[in-house]
Amino acid sequence: MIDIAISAILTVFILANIMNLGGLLLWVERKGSAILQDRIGANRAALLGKLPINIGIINTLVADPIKLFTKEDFVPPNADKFLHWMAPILAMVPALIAFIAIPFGDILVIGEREINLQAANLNVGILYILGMVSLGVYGVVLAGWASNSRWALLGGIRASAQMISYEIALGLALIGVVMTFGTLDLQEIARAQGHMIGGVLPGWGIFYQPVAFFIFLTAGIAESKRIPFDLPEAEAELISGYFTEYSGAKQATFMLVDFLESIIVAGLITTLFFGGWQVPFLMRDGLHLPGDIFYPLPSLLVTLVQHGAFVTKLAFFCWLQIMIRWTLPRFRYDQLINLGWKILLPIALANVLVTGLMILIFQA
Amino acid sequence: MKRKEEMTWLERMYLPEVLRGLTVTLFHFGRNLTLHILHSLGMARDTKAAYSTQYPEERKRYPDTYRGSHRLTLKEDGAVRCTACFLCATACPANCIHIEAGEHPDPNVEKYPVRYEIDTLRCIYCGMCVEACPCDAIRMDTYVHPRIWGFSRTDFIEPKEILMGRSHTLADGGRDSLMVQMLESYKAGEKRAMLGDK
Ligand code: SF4
Ligand code: SF4
Repeated sequence: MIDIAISAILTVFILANIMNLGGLLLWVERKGSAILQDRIGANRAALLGKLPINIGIINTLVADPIKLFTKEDFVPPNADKFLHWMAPILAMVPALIAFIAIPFGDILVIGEREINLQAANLNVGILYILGMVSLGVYGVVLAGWASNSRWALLGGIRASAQMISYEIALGLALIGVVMTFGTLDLQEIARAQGHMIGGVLPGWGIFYQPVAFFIFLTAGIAESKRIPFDLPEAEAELISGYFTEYSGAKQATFMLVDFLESIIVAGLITTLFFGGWQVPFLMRDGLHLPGDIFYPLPSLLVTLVQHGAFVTKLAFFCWLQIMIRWTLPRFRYDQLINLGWKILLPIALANVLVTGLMILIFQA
Repeated sequence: MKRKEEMTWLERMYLPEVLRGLTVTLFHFGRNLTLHILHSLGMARDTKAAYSTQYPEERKRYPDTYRGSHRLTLKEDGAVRCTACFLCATACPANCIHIEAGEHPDPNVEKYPVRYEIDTLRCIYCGMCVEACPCDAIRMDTYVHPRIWGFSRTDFIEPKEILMGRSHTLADGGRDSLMVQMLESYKAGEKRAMLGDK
């Protein structure tokens, strides 16, 4: 009974934070892009008259949602009303529930009870997240199909082709990681990265699997359909791709899903390649510095620091994806498919092969 | 077709070029963010962090070749220069110039416009009327954009008096005087709209 309650609390905690982070990312995206393009960006809406410094947070977090949610909800004539209504939900739900397998801290000891800071301790965590991310394509394709518009349909078809192509590279990049750590459980993978290589370098996945990291980052951005891989949305060619015919709250949902997907990618990168909640030298019972120096620390403090480290890493990779989005131009469609099948896939396969060889050599 | 500039091996590797692009954007991001923070602390005010014009608080001056609102030019004695020849009305593709010609009391002057109106709701600001006029009687060098608000259609029909008045204002107040007037009337209108009276 108490276990279920704890799980429910953790789930609510994650979902609430992820939704807030999605909204914040919208602000980072708008204001950050303005700053890097020598502009000012959103600064019109302000509470209580004009503030001396307006960082545009009211614009993006209050004014924009109010505008979107009070707009007309337009359904095109001859559209499939039911599917048109279902599509945003089908896109949103898998993106949201994928998070429950990502660990955001080690074990928190309260009294006698040990709480694993992960909403669902799945021993197939990686497969579960991959499955959920793949399910997201249904929302997109159905949105394109149900809208009864050729732009939306083209966007939907492009999205499905792109997501299927890049899922292969994504999965193969992960196989290298799974071979290195020998488990599919994300919490175990995070725990396995706690040691130090040679006493100084943290034993994070990126030092074992650098190639897999770059493949995963590329394929991950392609999965979340953001520039430079935003062909399903491609404003210049397809108006707005699969959500051309959406307005108001439903369109806001699709926009949020894009951010949620990039948060998932950031979360996976953090967990698989950057040690998840690991902080160098910090163990569950305290600080282990080189030279056998040991400071014991209370469990709550350790957990808080580790959670803070996780959030910082997550935020950094979300920010990095936004930076990449504002740096690169969009790929052409044939370039996109070529990159997926002719470059990323062979590299990922070679990576699996080399990893296998390495494991054989080091075990022998 | 063969591309003139082949990409080098390093460029075709994608990643180094992506990193190069990222350094450019990150440099701008870091520089502008630091400057914005310094500005809000009141330092380094004269180094700009953003190059955009903060319209409507700031405005760019209209360029010298700007085709703005019309004006009817004046003779030395202040009378209208137009001879009511109807060439502008004929040239106008939007059919928005309405002239009523009358006989001038002075026998040396043949005709003059008793009524000269431009319907600015129809005008497309193409400048054909200026091109057509044989006596340089109509010009668009007022450096002010057309009025975009009013309470009825008749507010947008500019009669001879307004068109000639522009020439007077320009002669008295200089190049930007009409724009200043326009901005003041905007502000007055904004205040009236905020107080809720029409
Ligand atoms: S600017 Fe063009 S449309 Fe306007 S009055 Fe002159 S000729 Fe007509
Ligand atoms: S403004 Fe010029 S073209 Fe038009 S009626 Fe007068 S003189 Fe003729």
